[in-house]
Amino acid sequence: MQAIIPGSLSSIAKRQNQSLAESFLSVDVLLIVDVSGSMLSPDAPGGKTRYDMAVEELKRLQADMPGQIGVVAFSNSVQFCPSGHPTGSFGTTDMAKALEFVKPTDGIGIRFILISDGQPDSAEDTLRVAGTFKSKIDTVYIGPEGGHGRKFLQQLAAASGGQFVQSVEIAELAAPVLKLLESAR
Amino acid sequence: MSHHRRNPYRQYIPSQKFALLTPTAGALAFTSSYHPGLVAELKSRIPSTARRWDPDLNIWLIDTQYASVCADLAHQYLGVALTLPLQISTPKMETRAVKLEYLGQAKDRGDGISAFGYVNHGWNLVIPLDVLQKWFEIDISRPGVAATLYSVLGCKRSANEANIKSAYRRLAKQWHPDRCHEPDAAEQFRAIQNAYEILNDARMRRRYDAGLAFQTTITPETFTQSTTGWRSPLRCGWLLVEGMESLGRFIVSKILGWEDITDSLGRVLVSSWPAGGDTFEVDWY
Repeated sequence: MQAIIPGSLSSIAKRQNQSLAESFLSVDVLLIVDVSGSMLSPDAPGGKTRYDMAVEELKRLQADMPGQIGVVAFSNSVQFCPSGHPTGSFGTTDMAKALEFVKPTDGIGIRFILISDGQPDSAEDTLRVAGTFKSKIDTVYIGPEGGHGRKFLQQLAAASGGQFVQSVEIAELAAPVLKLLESAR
Repeated sequence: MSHHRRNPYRQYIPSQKFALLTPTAGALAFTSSYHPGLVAELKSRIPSTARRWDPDLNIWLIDTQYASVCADLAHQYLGVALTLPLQISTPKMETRAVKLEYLGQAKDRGDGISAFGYVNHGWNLVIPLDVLQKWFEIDISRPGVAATLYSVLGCKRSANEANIKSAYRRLAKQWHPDRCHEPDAAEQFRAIQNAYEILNDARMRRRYDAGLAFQTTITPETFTQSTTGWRSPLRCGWLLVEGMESLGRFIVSKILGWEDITDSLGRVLVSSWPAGGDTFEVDWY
């Protein structure tokens, strides 16, 4: 069992002795985080994996915005992660399934930011589901410069009227996410 | 409030050694002159879930399948030859409307967790916790994430705005600290107000519902909110229930309806058990 990250929904719910569903009332943004197999690649030989670095960045974000961030992790399955620690099977990149999962929260004033380093299993399905959203879906690309996933995430953000941001270094993930949130205010 | 009942068996009791076995609702009433050996062996041969001592009537209520054990004991310790009742009625599932004056806290009684209800001048109603929680739409398969704002208000998740308002008014009346004397009345009242403020606001309710949808996707171990001390949001009322008699009590298997008890002036019955009190109190508001 993963430790509860300070500022995560679980930590807020525990502190305020409320249910997770109640802690959801203060959520401003849902971070939909890719935990597919490619996230296990280190950006530098012998260094931390993209996943490990993403976890570090998510810790920072949740500490900066306590109770305002919900985390959803996806690969070939999708998981709500109230502890703030993205967990997953490190399988394929079923982005369409991830969007279907968060769909119940569409249109209630919650912002969606999808963070990924790769292309989805089905670009067509992903864009189709994104097309049903009332809210904008912002995307953050955390893959290598010139990677194939970059173009698709641009396309996905455009399809829902959201913004696309590129984080060249995953260790700087928090900055573009905060930038997206600032631009929405 | 008097809890004493007249013993209908007493009139048949002679002054010598005696034993009587009489069919009663969903059980056998066994009464005899006192013999410590008989009592000890009765307790050892008949499991606790199949017998109950009624202190008001001074009788044992015994599951019908233990009729022959009672006869053995009466013969062995008192020398009385008991005639077994010719017709032992098998309890059947039935629907009843009951006036519940007070519902106690659910407790583990050895054969499952249940709450006793005061009906017909006695604690004659037994509602298992799972039956109560099902009525209040608490997900009994997921302890720890079970309590919802809907269950705090005692209403369904499908409730519309009017249902929510009406549920709030009902619960606020039942739990207002000026009226309800339960030790945790103020805390319950705050929880009721909090639930109403969220569910009565369309935007907040949609967010809460989305949170509930997400909450149900996680395993209970991921997040455990304490459910100890959970009590039925309603203490009293007219209940339409399905169930059957057992050992002189009506065991509820399904709640079909739960309405307030009102008088001719439209006032609602509120019952509460003050801290340190010997019994519950009822009043009309």
